[in-house]
Parts: sequence; C-alpha cells; structure tokens
Amino acid sequence: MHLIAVQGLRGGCGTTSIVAGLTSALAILHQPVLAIDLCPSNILSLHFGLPFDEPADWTARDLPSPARKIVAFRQRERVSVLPFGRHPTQGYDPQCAVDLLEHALRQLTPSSGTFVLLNIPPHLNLLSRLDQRPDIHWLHVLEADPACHILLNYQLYDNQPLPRNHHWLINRLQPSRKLSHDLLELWRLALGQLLVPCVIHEDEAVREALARKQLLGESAPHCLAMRDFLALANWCVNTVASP
Amino acid sequence: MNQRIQPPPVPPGAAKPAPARQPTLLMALVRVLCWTLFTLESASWRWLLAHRRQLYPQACGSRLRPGDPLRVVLQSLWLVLVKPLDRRPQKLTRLANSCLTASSRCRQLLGRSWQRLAARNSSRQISTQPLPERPAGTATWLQLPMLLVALPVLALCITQPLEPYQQALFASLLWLIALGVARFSGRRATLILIVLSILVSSRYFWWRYSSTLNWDDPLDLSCGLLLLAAESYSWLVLILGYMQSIWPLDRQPCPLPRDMANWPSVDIYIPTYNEDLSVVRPTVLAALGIDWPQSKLSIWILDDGKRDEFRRFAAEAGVGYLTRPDNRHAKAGNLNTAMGKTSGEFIAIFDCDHIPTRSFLQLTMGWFLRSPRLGVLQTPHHFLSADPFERNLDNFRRTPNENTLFYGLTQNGNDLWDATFFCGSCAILRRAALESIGGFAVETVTEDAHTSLRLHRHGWTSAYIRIPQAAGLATESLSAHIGQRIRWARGMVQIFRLDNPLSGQGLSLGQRLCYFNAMLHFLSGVPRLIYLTAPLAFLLLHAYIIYAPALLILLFVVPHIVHSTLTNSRIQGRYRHSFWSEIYETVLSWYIARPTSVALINPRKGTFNVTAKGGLIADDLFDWKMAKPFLILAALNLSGLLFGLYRLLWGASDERMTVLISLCWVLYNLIVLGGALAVAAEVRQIRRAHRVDLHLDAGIRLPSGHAYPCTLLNYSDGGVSIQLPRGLNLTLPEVARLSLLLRRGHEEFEFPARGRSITQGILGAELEPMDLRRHGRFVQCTFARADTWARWHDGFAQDHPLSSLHGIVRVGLSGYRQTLLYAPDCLQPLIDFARGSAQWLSSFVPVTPVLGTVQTGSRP
Repeated sequence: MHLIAVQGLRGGCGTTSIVAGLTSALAILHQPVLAIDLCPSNILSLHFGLPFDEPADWTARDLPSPARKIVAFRQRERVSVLPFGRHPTQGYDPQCAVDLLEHALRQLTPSSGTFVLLNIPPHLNLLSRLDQRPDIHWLHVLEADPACHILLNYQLYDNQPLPRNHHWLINRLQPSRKLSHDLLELWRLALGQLLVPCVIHEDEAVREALARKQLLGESAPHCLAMRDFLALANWCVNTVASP
Repeated sequence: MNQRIQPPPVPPGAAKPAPARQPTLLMALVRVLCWTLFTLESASWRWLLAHRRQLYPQACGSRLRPGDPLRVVLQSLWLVLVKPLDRRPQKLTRLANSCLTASSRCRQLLGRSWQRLAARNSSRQISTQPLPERPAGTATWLQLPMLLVALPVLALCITQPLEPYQQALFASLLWLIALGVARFSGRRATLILIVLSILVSSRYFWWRYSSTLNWDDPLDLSCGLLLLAAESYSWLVLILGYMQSIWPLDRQPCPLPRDMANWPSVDIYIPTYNEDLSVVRPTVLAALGIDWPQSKLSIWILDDGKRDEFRRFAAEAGVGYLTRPDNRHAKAGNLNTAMGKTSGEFIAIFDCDHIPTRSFLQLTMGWFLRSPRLGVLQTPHHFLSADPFERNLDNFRRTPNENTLFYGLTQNGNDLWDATFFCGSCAILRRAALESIGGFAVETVTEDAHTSLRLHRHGWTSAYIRIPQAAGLATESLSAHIGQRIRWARGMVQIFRLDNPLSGQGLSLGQRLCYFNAMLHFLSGVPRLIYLTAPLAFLLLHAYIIYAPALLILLFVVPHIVHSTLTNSRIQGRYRHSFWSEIYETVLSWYIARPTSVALINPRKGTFNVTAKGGLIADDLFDWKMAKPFLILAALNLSGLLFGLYRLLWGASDERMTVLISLCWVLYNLIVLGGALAVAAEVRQIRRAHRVDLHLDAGIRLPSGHAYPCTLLNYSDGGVSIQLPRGLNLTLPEVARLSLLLRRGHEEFEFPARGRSITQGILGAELEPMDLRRHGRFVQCTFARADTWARWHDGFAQDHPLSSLHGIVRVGLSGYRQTLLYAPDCLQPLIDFARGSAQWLSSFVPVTPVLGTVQTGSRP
C-alpha cells in the first residue's frame, strides 16, 4: 500500500481535483487506486460519478464500532472511492479523522500495490499524526500566487530541515503570467528536489469533468491537464512506489 | 489511307476527338468474324478474354488505336516465348524458396556470429572514454619486423607483371578476400579493406605508368599523359583520403570543473557585413541564452556595414557593438580589430546566421581547461535549410549533403592527426594562441584555414567535437553556392602557394598531409573535366589514350574501381553515398577550374567576395547560364556516344571491345552530366522564409481555456505547424486566437498566435508579432535548445553502392527531362515530336505481363 496524502496549502488550490485526476491517471497506468475523502465538503465522490444524494457516510459515528462495515464504491476495475458523506461535522477533529482512517484501512485492507490517495482539507492538521506511518508521502498543492508563497514560507519556517517524504506540486499553472515564472524560480531554489518536476496546467477541461461528473481520463483524454496528470502518475509510480 | 497515319499522342487532360462511326462498325464486323471463326465460348478463350488487360496491357486501352493489330501480334509472340510473372506460389518453387530462405538464414546466422566475434575484437580496440585515445603511435618491437616483411611483399604485389589470366586470377582472389572481410564490422576490417584497395589501385597505376603509354604517336601521348595526370591526382587524393579518415576520433565533450569561478571568460563575436537584421537577430538572441556565467560572457556584433539599425538593436538587446573606420582585410580584419577592443580569454565566433544552442560553451570549453596548449576547437556547421543541391535534386535530409562528408568524417579524422581546421564559424579560439601568431591571418581569402595552419605551426593543438551546436542557413542559389566554393578553392590554393604546408617548420607529417589533401581537394576541377572528355579522344579523335588491349584494361580498371568504391562506401557510407561525389564535383569542376589554376600561378590575384545568404530566387527558372558548360559537355559526350555506336557497328572489328568500354564511360559521363543539369534547374521558393523541421513537445491553449498537448513540427518566419494529439477533433472558429506553450528546461512560456487551418490533425498557426524579449525566448525555446539538432542526421542509411548508382541514374535522367522541359519555345515542337514518337515506338515493345493473385476461370 502506497499512502499519498494530498493537501492544499490554502483552500481552493484544487486539491480534490488533483486527487480525482491522479486517480484517473493511475488507473490508465493499470495501478489499483483507492481514493479516500477526508474533506467534509464531500465533493470527491461526485468526480467519480456518484449521485448527489448518495447516503453512504463512513464518518457518521463519533466512535466507529469495530463491527461496522465500511464499503467503498468501485468505480471500475481496481478503482474505488470512499466518499465522506453528508452530515454535521462538529466533532470532526484531527484525532477523529486519523482514527476513522485507521479503521477504514483495517476494514478495506487494500492490496500491497494499491495507491491510497487521501483528500485532506487544508485546515485539518494531520501532519504530526500521520507522519508516524512509515509509508506515507505528502503532496502539498500550491498555486503560483503570493498567498501560497507566504503559506509555503510559514511551512518551511516551521519544519526545518525538510522531511524527504514531503513534496510540493504546482497546480493551475499559467505560463503567461510573469509572477508565476518568478515564484516558480524561487520555489525551485527553496525546495530543490522536493518540488515535483511536473506541473498541472490550468485547463478548462478539469472544471468540465466535474460538471459532467466524470473522471478527467474519461471526460477529456486528450487535454493538457490529463497529460500532466499522467506525468504526475508516472512520477508517483517511480518515486513513491519504488523509492 | 488516312487511318495508317499515327495521330500525335493525346496529352492527358486534352479533349478526346469524337470516336468515328466507321471504326465502330468495323469492330462489330471483326467481332462477328471472330465468333464465326473461333470457338470463343470455350474455356481457354474465355480465360484469355478475361485476362486480356493483363496479357495485352499496351493494346487494351480505352479505344482502338491504328497500331494495335501489330502490337497484339508482337505481344502474342512475346507471350509464346516468355512465361507471365505469376504471383501465386507454385509447388515446386515453394520448395525451392524454402530451401533458399533456409540457406540465407544459415548465412545470416553465420555472418552474425562472425560479426559478434569481430565486434568483440574491435571493442577491445575502441575505447569509449571521454578522452579520445589515439592508437599507439610508436611501433612496438613486433611491428617493425612485420613492416619489414610486409612492405617488400606489397611492393612485389604492385610491381609484378602478370599474364592476363594470372592478373584475372589475382584480381578475383583479392576481390574475394575483400568481400569476405567486408562482412566483418569494426575498424580492423576497414583497415584491411584499405590496404587491399591501396594495393589494387597502386598496381593499376604501376601498370598505367609502365606499359600503357604510346611514345610513338604525339597525339596518343599528349592525350594519354593528360589522362594519366588526372588519374594520378585521383590516386593521390584516394590514398591521402584513406590516411585522413583512417581512425575518426569521435571526441566526446570534457566535463568542466564544478566550481564556476574557474570557468574562463568568453567573448562571442558575430561578424556581419551586409546581411539583413532579420538574419542576425536570432543569432544574437540565441547567444544571449548560452549557459555560461553572465559576468564571464560578452557578446559583440562586429558590424562592417556600420548600420544604425544594428547599433540600436545591439543597445536594445544589451550586447556590444563594434565598428571600425576602414574595412581592410574583410572578415579577418574585422575580427582582428575586435580582438584589440575586447579582453575575454577565449573567442567564440559565429557567422551572423549560425544560431548557437544553449549548450555550446558547456560542451566545448572543458577541453580548453584540460589541455592548456589547445588553440582552436571546431564544431560542425549545420544547415537547417536545403542547399541548392538538395533543393534542386529534392533530396533534403534523405541523402547526405555535400557538407556531411567534411563535418561528419573528414574533420573527425583530421582530429586524429591533430589537424582540425578552423572553419570560420561555430568555433572557439584561445586569445593567447591568436596573439602568439599575430591575430587572424589576412593574406588569403580563406582566413580560417590559414589561421589554423599558423596555430599548428606554432605548436598549438586543435580539437573537433562532432555534435552540431549551431545551425544556420545554407546558401540560397546555385550561383551563390558556387561563388562560395570558388572563394574557398581560391583561398586554399593561395595558402598552398604562400604558406605551403608541405614545407616550413612546426608541422607533423600527419598535419602536413591533411592540409595538403584539403588543398588538393579543391584542385579537382581540371582532372574532372579531363575525365568528362577523355573517352571522346578515343571515340572522335581516335587517340589511344590507354595504349593496351581492351581485355587488360578491363582486368586492371575494374578491380581498381570496385575496390575503391567498396572501401569508400564503407568508410564514408553514412556521410556520403557512393557516386554522389561525382555530381558535386562535376557541378563545381567547370567553375573552379579557372580560379584555382589562376591562383596556382599567381596567388595574389583575386578579391574577397561575400557569400550571399537569405536571398530569394525570383521565379521558376532554369539557370541557363549555369547549365551551359554542362550542356556543351553533354552534347560532346552524346556525339561521342553516337559516333561510338557507328564505330561499334561498322568500325574495325578488333577495336570493338575498346569502343564498348569507351561507350560505357561516355554513358556514365552522360549520367553524371544529367545530374549536374538537374542541379542547374533551380526551383522557385514559394515561401520566403525557410521552413525548419523541429519536432518539439509543446502545448496550445484556446481562448475557451482548453489546453492540449501537441508537437511543434516546423517553424518558418512566424508560421508554425502543430501536430494535434491523435483522436482529438478540434474545429477552429473564424479568427482563432490561441497561445503556444513551449518549454526551455524547467521554464515554460506562452506565445500568442492565430490559428489558420487544421488539416489532417495538423494545425497551421501564425505567431503574433513578438517584442525583442519574447522573440529571444522563442529562439531559445526552439532553435537554441541543446537537443534540437542532435538527432537530425539519424535518418541517413548506410550506403549501398548499387542502390546509390541507381539513384544517380535516376537523378541524371531527370536532369535531361528538366532540360527539355525548360528548352526554348522554338525547340518545343521538335522535342514534342521526339517525345511523341519515342512514346509511340515504345508502345510496340512487348511487356512481360503480371498475373494477379485472384484467378477467374481455369487456366488451360
């Protein structure tokens, strides 16, 4: 099992789309994938074509009982999704999320080669708790804008030296913007090898895929973002699965 | 009868005359007659009728022609004699085929194992270290006695006179050895082939000198001596060529020190005189993108034209701009003046149209740091547009061009002897070395070769890295191309006279011979003209130029030709296909014969002329002025051919064999001259800008926000062709604004463009006008990428002499066809008549029919 935690530096970085796109690309590379939604917005399941009013929710109870079955939805051969579900989230804190996740992984027992992608909301601080797992990789999603630059610097300031299993991925890149160039250059200097060598370009097809409730590989297989996701999936297979 | 007269053949597209009623009636009558006389309903007849189009291809047109009965009779006779080609595998032949394939497979297996063995041997020989290994120069204790034995044996083999049958035996034995050795790969086998070729050719010349001159007849003697001189020249060039390319060094780049503080400072000179700014601009912008510490790189435009436009551009781009009060000594003077005004430790020179790649300095400078005596390092001149030969023969990027041999093999081989020439562009020189010889040489019109000769004389070494690191435009028209070659030829001959590499001090024997061969190469004009006219001396003037029996001539000449062709094809195969040299040299021969001879006599005569680049040929034209000498030579050879045929049929019977040999020679000359005529037929360029094939990964973004990955196929002055991903259905709106995404290393840039059309998945677009900064980025993302030219030459296949000969024949014939096409109007009816009657006559020639695989009806 290869655990990849995907988290945006701030809200609106496109984390959920990245999880969906990466799932789609890994599936094209014939890798088994399980996408788990830890975000209360519950959007990920719609990327996979589940109905808006799907009642299943694996996070409904405060304390999961060991007897309770957790069921993931199989979107197709070797591709599954575990939706967050719709319910109030008063008692949802980092510890609860980690407990729920451990419970879910115990129940679903993904095979050894499976990529488990976690869609983590930006405000949920799972860093210290999940980092105890030896096999986890973090994918921090950035957009090339000053807000992300500030947040990245906070992050770097708090964590020195940089842990090797953390990676930063740039989403929605628009090369025509000068600021993007400058920030990219800065980040390349600061992060070095930890900056994922491929970027995800801004592409309307990503938005359209969600509007169609389809994965990107089905909705727009020829688009630039899909090629970027395939490059990212290849990078994942090479870096995460065979370090 | 009117019907007997053959109407001129109707050109396709012309209106057909209305079919006459009379023949239709006639045909019906014939049909009735046939049905009454023959049993047309029988199986045999039905089979025949069903296959009549395959059996009588020339007689079964859409309508009946007057000559058809004769054609049918001739073809029927042919069919009785010849079995139709049948595609269906027969039982017996299937067995034979399987036997054949089995045996050929055995041969292949055997050959492969031999080759593996040979490769194992040769891999021990060739080291793949970045440091080029020269083969040990000192003779070991074993080599000396072996040489003492081998040299007398070689001398004996060359000089021993033999009876004709003995000579035949000897020649065929050597040929068999050569064929056996040629199956092996590796350099050792090549060396054996070279020795065999030298042996056979030297033997030929020994025989020529000792027993083929007729001293009694002055005409025979003078013609014979002329031919012998030309042949001796070729023999010398052949031997020196073998020596030059015996062990191409394939020098690899040498890594630079890790600490950039140790990297030296470099000045980049871009000399220009009268070229357009649009030609110079990409070069300067690409030079700005060369990967080198900014503080140690300065770029200078050396403008001998003193143009304000260039001064402004230099200021805008942030590069240096130098002029000088006078224009003495052309380019060399320009460079010398600039040397006094700049101070970099090294000087890199690019002609104003050679766009350097970003990796140029990083790939080359390592060698200068490694060997402090290295004075000059040269990289190939690579051309991204077709030169006049390639354009007029339409073989751009399919057959190695004229340059490929020099930059692919000759310079690489020179490197072994430490005799790489400086070629004026795409090279780096050490300032200290230049200062020690007093700057660039100004005495001749080829300052580059003369400068490197001086460097070598002063003990500086040279290097060659065969990786294209810059690309430029080839010369535009044939006349400009020839003008450039004339300048080179004159310059090299001037050096030969003023600073002869064979004498003087400071050079090693290898360097002397390499320079000598380079200069000899440009003297090829007169010998080539002698070859083109020599057989006429026998056919027309009846001079015995080779005073020997025909059989002996064959026994000596044929081995000489086949051995040198085989060996050269092996050495030069990837860089020059067999027989193509003949066309290149023939085109140049007429024009360089006079200047080189003049320069040989008086080296100080002649002026420097600038090579015109970036021009445009006005319209579709046949360069009559250029083609005139070849037309005259072709006419001479044609008259020789006709006279030879006359002599063959009605001449003295004991001369027939000699006449036959001469006829073959004349035919070969005619083919080569046809190739020269094909080159002279200039084709109009429709696009003003040169289209450059690129094949780069790219992307496009549409105004709707959609983006697609794609491949940039080619670029030409603002227009790009883009291959869209397979299976993508894209339709463009009326005015489609889009942007092109290109990468340069990690960086990525967008360039606004307008979509024009999509045909078969290829999008044609036009880039919006770019400001200087964006233009610089575009050049750096495309032409100046380190890998743009790396795989350019991979398309050339290894040469096969026979298929190459076939290609030459095709080119030669097309040359005559083109000449007829462009002939003056007054000759047009004559040509039409000749072509028509030739077509009409050839329609009577029987054809061997090919039966399809699907058979209807049973075959009797």
